[in-house]
Amino acid sequence: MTDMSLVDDVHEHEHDHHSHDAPSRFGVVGPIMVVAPLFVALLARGRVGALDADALRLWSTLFVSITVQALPFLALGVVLSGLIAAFVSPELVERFVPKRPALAVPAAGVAGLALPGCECGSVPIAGRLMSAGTPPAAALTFLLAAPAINPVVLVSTAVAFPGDRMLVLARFLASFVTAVAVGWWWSRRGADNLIEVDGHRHDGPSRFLRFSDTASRDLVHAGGYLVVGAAAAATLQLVIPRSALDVVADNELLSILLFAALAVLLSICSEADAFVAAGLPQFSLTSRLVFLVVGPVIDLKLVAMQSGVFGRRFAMVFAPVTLVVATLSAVAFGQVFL
Amino acid sequence: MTRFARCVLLLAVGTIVVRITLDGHFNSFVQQRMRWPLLLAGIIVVGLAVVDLVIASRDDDETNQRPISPGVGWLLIAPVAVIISVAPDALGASAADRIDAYDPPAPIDPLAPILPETDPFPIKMLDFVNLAMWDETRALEGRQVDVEGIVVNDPEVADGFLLIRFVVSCCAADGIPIKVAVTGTPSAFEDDTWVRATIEWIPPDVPYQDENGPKFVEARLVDITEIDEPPGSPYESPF
Repeated sequence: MTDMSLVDDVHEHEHDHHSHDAPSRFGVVGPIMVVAPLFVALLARGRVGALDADALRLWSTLFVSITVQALPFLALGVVLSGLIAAFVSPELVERFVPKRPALAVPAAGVAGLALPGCECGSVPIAGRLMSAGTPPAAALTFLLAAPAINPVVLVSTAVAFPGDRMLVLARFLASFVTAVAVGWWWSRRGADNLIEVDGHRHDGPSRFLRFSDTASRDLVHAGGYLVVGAAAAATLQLVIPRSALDVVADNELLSILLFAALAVLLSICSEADAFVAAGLPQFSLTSRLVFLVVGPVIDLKLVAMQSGVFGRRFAMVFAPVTLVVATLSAVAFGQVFL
Repeated sequence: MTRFARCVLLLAVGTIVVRITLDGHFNSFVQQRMRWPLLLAGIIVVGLAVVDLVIASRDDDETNQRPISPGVGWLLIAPVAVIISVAPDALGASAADRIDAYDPPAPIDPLAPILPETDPFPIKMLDFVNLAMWDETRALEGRQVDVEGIVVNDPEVADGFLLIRFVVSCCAADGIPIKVAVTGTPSAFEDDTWVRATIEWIPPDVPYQDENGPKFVEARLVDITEIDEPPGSPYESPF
């Protein structure tokens, strides 16, 4: 009898769905939205190539490359953010994070040394740190420091610039100072109300479910914005060919501004940007340092992800300030060391 | 996005990642050392999808109808759709055309290469160009080497073609082409053909570093064969 009623139940729902889209067991519309584009893509397979549109194929390669490259780092990031949601309580944060922002901010900067990832992974982590009660200024400092000063980034910079050891030091210091300066500025400004972080506590029945639900949610959330940023970056790489830059190579001020803009627009991973900068030897070291310091803290895909995770109003304030501070810091350290 | 929808989305993303990692297509997009991190990421994503599936099948209808993830996540289906429909290939002639050739940076210490005794010997395009430009002992002079790359027919190389190979440190978006002008024989191949070529370096009359120096490292063609697949990765790593 119980079985019968269950079967009836299912039938009823199927029927409902056909008539007026009432709740069905799984909700069919969502999955169809996933499967339909894939079906269209399958139909288009082979025909897109027939167009022989070089630009379209190149765009596709760049777009897919940026997302594929970011995915392992994003996965690592959401696993950590899931663990934070499952295991880090506000009480724990209170015990370990220094109360005074003057201390918490540089401590968060130093913590950035430990995460060997690109920028994409640190956005969800910073978001979860905030929901777990970390002062936003400290979480934001971590967000800026982690992709810029971790060991992998510093080693690849040293490999890309074998003759300029001081550049590695200058990059480290300029990035660290940028992260801490922006963090202090944020804590003094007290604009935490601009941040619309997802405060949703996933009170699953178990820690494991809290972990997996947070990880999935952050993956889908940050991943969606990553795709926006990757599409924009791939488009700009096509529109601004790297060979078209030589025009301003002789003017120091123009090169600095150009490289700050390029860092934002090209959105190259922090672990790879040193090689791109090394490939442009006609520019001064200082202007290329600007590229290396600005890129990891602000670029198109980061702005997209930050406005998704922390809210658009936040990004409108945070992004320009970060850009200016990073540029100035890089120029200052470039003058001293290079 | 409901839980079941998220499950299907994650399943699509995770499966395609595992698939391009196993069938080698990922080589067109990222460096080879990303193989294991990518595979692991794909498995994590599929695992998260399975957890969603289990929960969705246990929950009641009303709970399942509640949106639990932001709608922007749908965009994750875009790269999956592009991989399936366009099946993008590795960087080639059209990309090489847009980006200046790689200039190896000056070494800290003078180069002192120890090359194999017998000709021809295999060498990375990156090492070939680096030695040509910076080795003051001119160890490459008179030696024949085997390199693998793609043919680009460039009007700037009158009686030959450009042999190129991309250096990629992370993903194809940071790719920079190494270009060697192979002269002495008109090109018999179309753009983007993979070849294995035996070449001999032609030392420049004016140093490369000089303002009037040659634009490309030049080499004389000794032997050339077409190859099907790029050997291993289509890209060279700067590491």
